[in-house]
Amino acid sequence: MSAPATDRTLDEILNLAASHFKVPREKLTPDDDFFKTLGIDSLQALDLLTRLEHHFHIELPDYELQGVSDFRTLANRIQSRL
Amino acid sequence: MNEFKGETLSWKIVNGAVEMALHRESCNEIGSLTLKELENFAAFLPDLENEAHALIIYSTQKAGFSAGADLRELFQRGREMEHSEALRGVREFLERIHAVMNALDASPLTTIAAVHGVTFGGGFELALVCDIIIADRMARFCFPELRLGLIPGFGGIPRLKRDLGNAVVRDLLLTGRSFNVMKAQQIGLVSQIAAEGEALRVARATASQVGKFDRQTATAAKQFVKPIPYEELKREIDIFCDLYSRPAVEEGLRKFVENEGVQPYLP
Repeated sequence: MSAPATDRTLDEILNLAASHFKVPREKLTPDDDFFKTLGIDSLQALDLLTRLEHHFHIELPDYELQGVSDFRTLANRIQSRL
Repeated sequence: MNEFKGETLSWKIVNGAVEMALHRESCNEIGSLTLKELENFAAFLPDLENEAHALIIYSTQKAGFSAGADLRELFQRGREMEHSEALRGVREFLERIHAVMNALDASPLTTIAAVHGVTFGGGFELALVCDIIIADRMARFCFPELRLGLIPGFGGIPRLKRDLGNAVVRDLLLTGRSFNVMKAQQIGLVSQIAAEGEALRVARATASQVGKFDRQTATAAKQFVKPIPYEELKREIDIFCDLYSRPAVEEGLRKFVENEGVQPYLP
């Protein structure tokens, strides 16, 4: 049985974040605070958002990320735009 | 003079195109020093127009083209002065930068903004002055001013209205959201998208192409399709200054400047 859509989305986000910010994939978990785990600031978060928008072919307004800091919630926001 | 090296920007003529590099740390925030060097450039523009056919504006800063106005300087000056004096200073700054923007807008040169990364606020307004915006795949645009209780003040609204449908302008302005290059091309703001790190190369190729045509014809075509909304630009300064007078703005600026968290550029 294939994984639920959100799990696949989450996995793709974690892979992309690990690859771009050069963090070992195994060190990233869905409930991590991505600002802390990736060591990024808001400008780099916007860079990540742009990469995710390109990857998933979606538009995700940044106000939907207000207060979002963990990968799982980020995946839910992206899933709602797919 | 065919070359200038300043503290915030430099320019030189390369293959018939003036290339202006923005290089102020951290992301080309536009404050009084940048304004002075832009004014210096505008003063040389008539001479450069005789020697070149195009102007390319780009950034050497990794974070992007420009994060916009120097809000820290704006906040600091507001704190150091009586309110009426600070307001006069803001109006003078806006009138001076509008004069530069209008000179760039009206220049017979074909002007190209080669943008990447953060292209926000005043940086977005600088790009909007140009005839052609060529954007790196990772460029991101935003008018965040409403988050501070202000409107864009460097001519952004009239120029955005000139180029885009009003419904899109309302969305971008009233939500203060940032948007990527695909959206920017979809709404007609960006005419060419370059791969990551390739915007300047694409801009140079474009400048080379426009250099093949008769300058008088190119200038006539530009003036025909790109009217400058002078009256609305003046109104924008008035509205900005009216809004700046309110205490909410100082609070918004303080919140941004004193934010030591990781999210000052997120809404």
